[in-house]
Amino acid sequence: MKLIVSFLLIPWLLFSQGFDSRLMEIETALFEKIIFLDYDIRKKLVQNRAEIYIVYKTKRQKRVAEKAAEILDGKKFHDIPIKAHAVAFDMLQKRDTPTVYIAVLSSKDIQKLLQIAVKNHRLLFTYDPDNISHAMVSLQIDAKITPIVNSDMLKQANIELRPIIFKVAKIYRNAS
Amino acid sequence: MKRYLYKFATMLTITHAGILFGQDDTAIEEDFLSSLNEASEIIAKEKLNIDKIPSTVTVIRHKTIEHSGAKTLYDILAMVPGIDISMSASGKREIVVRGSREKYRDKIKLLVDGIDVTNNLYSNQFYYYLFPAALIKRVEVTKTPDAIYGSNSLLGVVNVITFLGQKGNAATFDISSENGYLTTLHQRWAIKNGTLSVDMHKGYSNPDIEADPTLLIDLKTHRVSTLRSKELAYALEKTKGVGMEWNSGNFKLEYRYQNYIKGSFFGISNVVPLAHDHDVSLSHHALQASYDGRLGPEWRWHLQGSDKEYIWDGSYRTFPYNFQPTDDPSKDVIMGAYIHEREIGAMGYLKYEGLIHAMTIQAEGAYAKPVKSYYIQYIPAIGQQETHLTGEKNIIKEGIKRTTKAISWEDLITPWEDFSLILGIRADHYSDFGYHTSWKAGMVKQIGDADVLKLLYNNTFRAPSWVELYAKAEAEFHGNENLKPETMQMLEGVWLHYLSNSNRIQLNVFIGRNDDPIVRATNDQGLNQYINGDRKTFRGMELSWRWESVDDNILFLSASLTNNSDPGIKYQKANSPKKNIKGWFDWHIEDGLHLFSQASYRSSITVDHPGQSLKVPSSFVVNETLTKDMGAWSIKGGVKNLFDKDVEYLAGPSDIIQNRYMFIHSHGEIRVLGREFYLRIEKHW
Repeated sequence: MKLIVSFLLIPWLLFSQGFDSRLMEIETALFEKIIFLDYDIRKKLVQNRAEIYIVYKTKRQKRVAEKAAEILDGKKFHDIPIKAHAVAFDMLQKRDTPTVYIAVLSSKDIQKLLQIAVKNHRLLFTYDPDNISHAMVSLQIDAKITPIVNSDMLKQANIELRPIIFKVAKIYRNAS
Repeated sequence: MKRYLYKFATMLTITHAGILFGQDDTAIEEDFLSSLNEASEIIAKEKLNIDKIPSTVTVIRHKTIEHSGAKTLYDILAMVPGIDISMSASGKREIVVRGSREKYRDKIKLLVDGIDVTNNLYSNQFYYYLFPAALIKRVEVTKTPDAIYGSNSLLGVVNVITFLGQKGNAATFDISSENGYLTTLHQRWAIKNGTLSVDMHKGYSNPDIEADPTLLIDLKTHRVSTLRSKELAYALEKTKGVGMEWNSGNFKLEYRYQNYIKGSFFGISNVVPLAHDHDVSLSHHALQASYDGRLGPEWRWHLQGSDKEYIWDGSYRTFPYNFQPTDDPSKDVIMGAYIHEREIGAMGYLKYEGLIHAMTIQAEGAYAKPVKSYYIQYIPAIGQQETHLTGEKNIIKEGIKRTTKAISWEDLITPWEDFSLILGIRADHYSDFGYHTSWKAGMVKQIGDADVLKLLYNNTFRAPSWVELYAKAEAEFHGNENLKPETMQMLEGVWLHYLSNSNRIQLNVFIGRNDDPIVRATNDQGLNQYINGDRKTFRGMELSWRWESVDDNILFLSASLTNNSDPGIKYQKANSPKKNIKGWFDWHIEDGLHLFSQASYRSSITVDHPGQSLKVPSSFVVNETLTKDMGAWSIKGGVKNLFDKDVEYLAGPSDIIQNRYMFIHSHGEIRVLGREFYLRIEKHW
């Protein structure tokens, strides 16, 4: 018994928490569709492309961001090509404003990214629905997938989404 | 304070108003809605939201299957907590679900790409257990009986989803140090208006396994003597199969053929055969056509028709006709049969997927009958030759048929985001015994961010098979037309605790009751006849921990404990707890390089054997597999049973023959598998 426990426990000490890669794939594909529900999407294109920054800070977040970028990069949506990059949070200032941000960040770091997204009038997605107070769109996985929309943050960023999303989404409002 | 507001059309006011949608706008919205629906269907279909719905499915996904070095479905099932792979006295591997072991039939429902491959003859499906892992995308295992699946899901449901119809072509070749190979191919073509997919496989295995001496027990004189000394077992196993799928729009045509040939190993009566010249071949064909349609965004419908065939064909050596030790194989009584059954069925369902309800209403029906059968029994030493016995001497009553009809309703209700409820009811009618109603109820409640509680209750049944009802072989199998269906009620509680999104502890606790179990018992005339036996009770628990790192490392550990009133095998001590600990670690060493370490421990088994006290020892087995991906090529090398330990399985005695004799292996157990090395080469394109 001791042999089994030690045999299997050693690796646990070497690594820490992760993510469900298949769920991330599905969520990323849905984010792509929601991006184009922004009425002003065409104004936000960069060189006629939808430029997506998937923002990370830690090494582990970088792996997720790179996988998401791999899924999105090179796709086309209604003839609009998509260019996706995994971008380190600290490098954001050195880069141009993208079409949209996707956060793979802790709740503390995403708050800073939210300020940037609001200022630039850009959509900010998060994989973690618990971070919706610091983002604009997320997805909740229950018996089915339900988008969560932070309407206050959308208003602050002056972003208008097509009404169809509100027919199926849960609306989150920050504390008044 | 956070607060979620549910709003639908009224939220239009806070968004852009008065917009006239152009054609492009409509397409964008439709694209979003259909993608959202598809994503919801995918998460439900692939069981990605399994923690959020009232279900206890364990899913083994392709990544784990691939890295584990699993060769067949058996190897995949062995990774599931609460499932153990054992072996019968005749050498047939058996699936032990939560401590329950059933001779010849596993009392589970096996679906391959949604097609039920269980036969009517003996309601078993072990010809599919050697199905290659390389062709399997994922396996979903429910160990709780599920009322909605109808008959035979008594100990659960195994749903095998293959790569048929999926993108990605591949070929594999697997070679083993235990005198075996397995090769597979999967190819998909884009054709006009659709796709055509084919998979095929062929495998061979004939390991050198030595059988213990066979003892003859004379129940009249209580004398125990050695009938046969140590011999090489006849452990031949061959498997081959083909799957095809033609998909065109909403129409799908599927075909699957599986063939399994088995040598008689230790002999069907536990007597090691002196000659390896008789095999049994089991073939299953299934052809299914289906069409899916939509009645708006929330309603879907499905219609399908199927034609299935199952053929049991072969013979095997049993025991010397005079029950005396001998080296002459011609003195063996040779038994066998040919049975060909056919089943034609139709099924349709209507599904509603709304914000609160996900409801399915289903109706189905089938007609089945044996189209040809005969029995074989002869003794060469006394001048008898193989003849095909029919009429009164047939293996099964002639002229039988079975008509079944069923209707079911199931609703998954999600009134609040942290609570779901499932209700279901199914009514079955069998021409053999009339009506049976099954039902289920379950709930899932999320407590805070870290805990989920589930509670499930199922009440289901298993229809007696044709062998159990109508068999009339002179030895071994005697049917009973008065059999009732056996029933199972099971209550299961599940607690999930999340240490993080990908670090989870799960505890399952179950208690069940199997009424009127169909068992084989010796009647007053000394015949082994099927009867509805005494109630069996099941109870136990499974504790598991799964952790997945961002670097693609996965650790899984599980411990299970069962304590059933009847373990299903003669002389195994009742109410004796059995422990099973298993775990695996999939280590992503670097890009394209994985090391999969697997370990399993099984506690000893106490045997109440007449005249002697036996104990089948515990076992501890470690497997290691290294996978190297090099673009389109992949090489896998591994070792099973790394420490070369003996693995012993409890082998019960044979049935009572001529109301007097029984055969048993000298230690009441079977020792199999030394260390096995294997190599697999895969090519993807």
